[in-house]
Amino acid sequence: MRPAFAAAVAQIREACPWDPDPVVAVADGEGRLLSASDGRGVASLESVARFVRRSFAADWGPGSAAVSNDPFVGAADICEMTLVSAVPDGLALARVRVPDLGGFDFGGVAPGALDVWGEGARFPALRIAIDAGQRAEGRALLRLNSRTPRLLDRALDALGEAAACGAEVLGERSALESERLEAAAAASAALGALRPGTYAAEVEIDVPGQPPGPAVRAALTVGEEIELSFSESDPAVERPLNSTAPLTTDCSLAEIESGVAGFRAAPGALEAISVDAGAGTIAGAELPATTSLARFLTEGAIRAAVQDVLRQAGGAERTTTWWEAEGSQAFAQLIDPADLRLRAERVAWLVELEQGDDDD
Amino acid sequence: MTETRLDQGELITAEIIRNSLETVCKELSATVENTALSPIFTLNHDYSCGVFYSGDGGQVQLLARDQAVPVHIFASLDSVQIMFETFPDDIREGDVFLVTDPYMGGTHCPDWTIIRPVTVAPGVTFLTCVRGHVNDVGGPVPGNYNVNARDVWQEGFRIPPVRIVSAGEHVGDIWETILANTRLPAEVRGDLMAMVGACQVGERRIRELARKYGVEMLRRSVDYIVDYSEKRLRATIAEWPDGSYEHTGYVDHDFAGNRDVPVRVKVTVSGEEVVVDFDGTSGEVPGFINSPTGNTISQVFTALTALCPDIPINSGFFRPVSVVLHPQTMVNPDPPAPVGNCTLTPGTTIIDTVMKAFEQIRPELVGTAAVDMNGARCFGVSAATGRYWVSSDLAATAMSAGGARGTDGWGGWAATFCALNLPPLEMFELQFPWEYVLDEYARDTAAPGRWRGAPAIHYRRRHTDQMRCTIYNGGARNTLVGYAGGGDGAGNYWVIREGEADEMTVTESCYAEPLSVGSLLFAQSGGGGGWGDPFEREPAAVLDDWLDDIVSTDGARRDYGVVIDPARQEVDLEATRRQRAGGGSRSPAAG
Repeated sequence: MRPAFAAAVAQIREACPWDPDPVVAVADGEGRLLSASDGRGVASLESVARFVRRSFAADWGPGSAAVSNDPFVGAADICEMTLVSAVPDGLALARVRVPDLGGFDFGGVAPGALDVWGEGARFPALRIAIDAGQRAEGRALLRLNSRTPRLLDRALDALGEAAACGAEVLGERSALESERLEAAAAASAALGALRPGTYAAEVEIDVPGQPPGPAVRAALTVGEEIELSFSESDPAVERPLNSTAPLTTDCSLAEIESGVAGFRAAPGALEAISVDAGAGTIAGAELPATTSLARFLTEGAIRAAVQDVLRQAGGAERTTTWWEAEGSQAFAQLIDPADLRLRAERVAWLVELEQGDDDD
Repeated sequence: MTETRLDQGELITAEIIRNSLETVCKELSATVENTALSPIFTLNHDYSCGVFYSGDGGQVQLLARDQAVPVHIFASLDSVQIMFETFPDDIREGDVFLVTDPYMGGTHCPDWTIIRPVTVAPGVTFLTCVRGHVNDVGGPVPGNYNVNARDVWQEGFRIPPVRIVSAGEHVGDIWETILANTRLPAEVRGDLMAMVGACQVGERRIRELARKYGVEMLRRSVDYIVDYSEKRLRATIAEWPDGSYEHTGYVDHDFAGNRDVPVRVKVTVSGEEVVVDFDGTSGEVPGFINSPTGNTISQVFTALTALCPDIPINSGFFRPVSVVLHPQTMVNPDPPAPVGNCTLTPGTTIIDTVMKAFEQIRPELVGTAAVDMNGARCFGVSAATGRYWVSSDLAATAMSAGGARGTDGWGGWAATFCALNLPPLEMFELQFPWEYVLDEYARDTAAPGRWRGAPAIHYRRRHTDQMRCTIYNGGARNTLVGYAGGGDGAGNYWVIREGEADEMTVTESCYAEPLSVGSLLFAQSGGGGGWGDPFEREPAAVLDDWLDDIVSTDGARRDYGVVIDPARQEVDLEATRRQRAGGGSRSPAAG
């Protein structure tokens, strides 16, 4: 990781102890991602960056900043907040989870939600800074729709400060472009080593304590072009298991990195493979599907399916899935709605943090 | 009070200006009705318009309003004030603002307030304003009546004062954020545009008035208009006997398991002033019937304006009246208490309770001023078009009119509460997937009185598409009250999936219940209270009701002491005299 990124990530972690995995990145002026602090979120960050640029086509320049938490723009779920900041020569991005943005249940995890609005407030692209000054209305809108407005403020401040590192990183523009090209070439070479053919896999979503969820179906075609398609997956459901296209793509790249030697889930990697999440399916859900448990649960199924097709195509043989190795544990600790004790402890801790800020 | 003095000619001009301002409000209202998209605006008229004023940056005052939903426009006063305070030095010509938050002068999340400041000279700012109930503002439940809500975030998207038009240009990301938080973005965009457009029409008219009469005359006139109402109300209050008058009303339930939740009011008349004190009212409740201050105060003034129908309603009317709201009570909750049902419940009970207190002062002027307490929101995706829809069918919930001295309750809402329209059933059948099977008065359900309440309405519809239904029902037990000896209304209930194995009678609530094609939904909307002793009702009026099938032969005898000979279709006057002399078996409440 670049030192500037490392410092920025540390800064966010310190301000937002509830999220150990913030991400920072930089993109060019149109939103094409150039570099990121790690490989998670490469597709979704670029999706957010491009959406923000389209939203503010005419009126955008250094000192502008906007936030987005919309799952149908690029967030994994309502509580994943990405800040896009205009810096000289491009965009700086920083992403962290925020404790709450309204909806049925604290933290956006709402198993009873009928649709995405039940999970919280949507902000597709809301400007929070103009000409380097804070835009009070933007902040006020965000704050009023959170049960933890002070922690939200902390998060937004931390994202803003972290994004400042973007200017420094973008100073090495030619090096970034080279890295992107190298990542694309490496990805292409790595995927080119797979056996030509079409491979299919099906994995049912494992919902702890409940019958199996709908199936994710992956089809990997290795030929002149390499394509990963989820279009045969089951349709989106009225349960918060729906993954959106950016999340599905992120999960796929992460799994390919684990299963294909030489492949890095880095900016540029998507030039070597096209991912079709399957519009309207559980892997490519559309508005107004609920998404709050897709992170982990559906991600587990997507990654297992991708692992399976990669194995068939000559990728690495692995005995455990991502869900078994990492996902289930993190899910239990963070958002498992079935584990009320852990959930309650986490909510109590966040409320205490919020009130601590209040006392300050 | 410091009275604004005008000479004779100026008085005439001031009165013309007052009427002109009310005409501006009517034009705002017509603009919204003719340009909005959703039935809740175009058919139901669930919005209100007003003109406000701030001189020299001072307190905002209501100057005029269209005949509308008082709870909207009275509470808007706080929203306009808060908008002014949020943007103290940052308002430009062509700006339009939006605020919706219940804790910022709002009522519940779907009531959106659009404000357009019109500065005609330095320190002379008028504000044209529309508050309307939009059909959906996100949150967990389509239509935003979340019977399971335990905080305000579970009721919809909250909007603090934001600028939605800046110097004539739409603020794109604010609009997109707002529209991202409704399930009906096209419809809500249309309604929002209609409200913004109406405020712009209002601006044009205000500027015309300033040009025609001059800014100074306009300024002095509005001061006079407001002072005049204050003076009139003070004179009226001075005629009322000094003293304290109390009443306690009860809300059926709080949607969280607590029942018979009290609203207590003590009205103290002292000289030219009145204090309305809510001491003794329930503390905050867990369910969604907490009433933010804007809503509570508006309900109080809804009752008061009914008592003084010939005084122009503006901020001057509010000055002699103090409303005392104790902290953390149901009528003055702290955020984030849920408030989504406040306009109906406890709104209705607040108005009724204030009215009952005033019954001891001016019994000839009181009567049901509230709206009924039942409601339902249905939603679904049309099988034919794929279009998502949310409906509030007010035809099911309409019958709140009570008797008043000199008139029976009529078929619709109590006029005081609102100018809501009953939707044409044919239009609703065109727009929503159902057919009406029944919509008629039910026999022996009118609250007895010398002037009886409106009968309950019985309503039934058959669904032509699948949908889900959320019902929020109050007034099943604590019904709309009678006055001056009149009986109480019949009360409300619903039956979903009527006639099926899983039929369910709903007297409190149900949440997102599935309704299939062909299923039936039944509702009884209970009717307002009667006024006066039913045994003093003209026997001929009872016979008319009998002929109209509003009252049965037994009901006429029981409730009115009137004996009808069914064969001859006439009143047996001698038997009636005997029945009334004996007191009969009088029923305090119908239904």
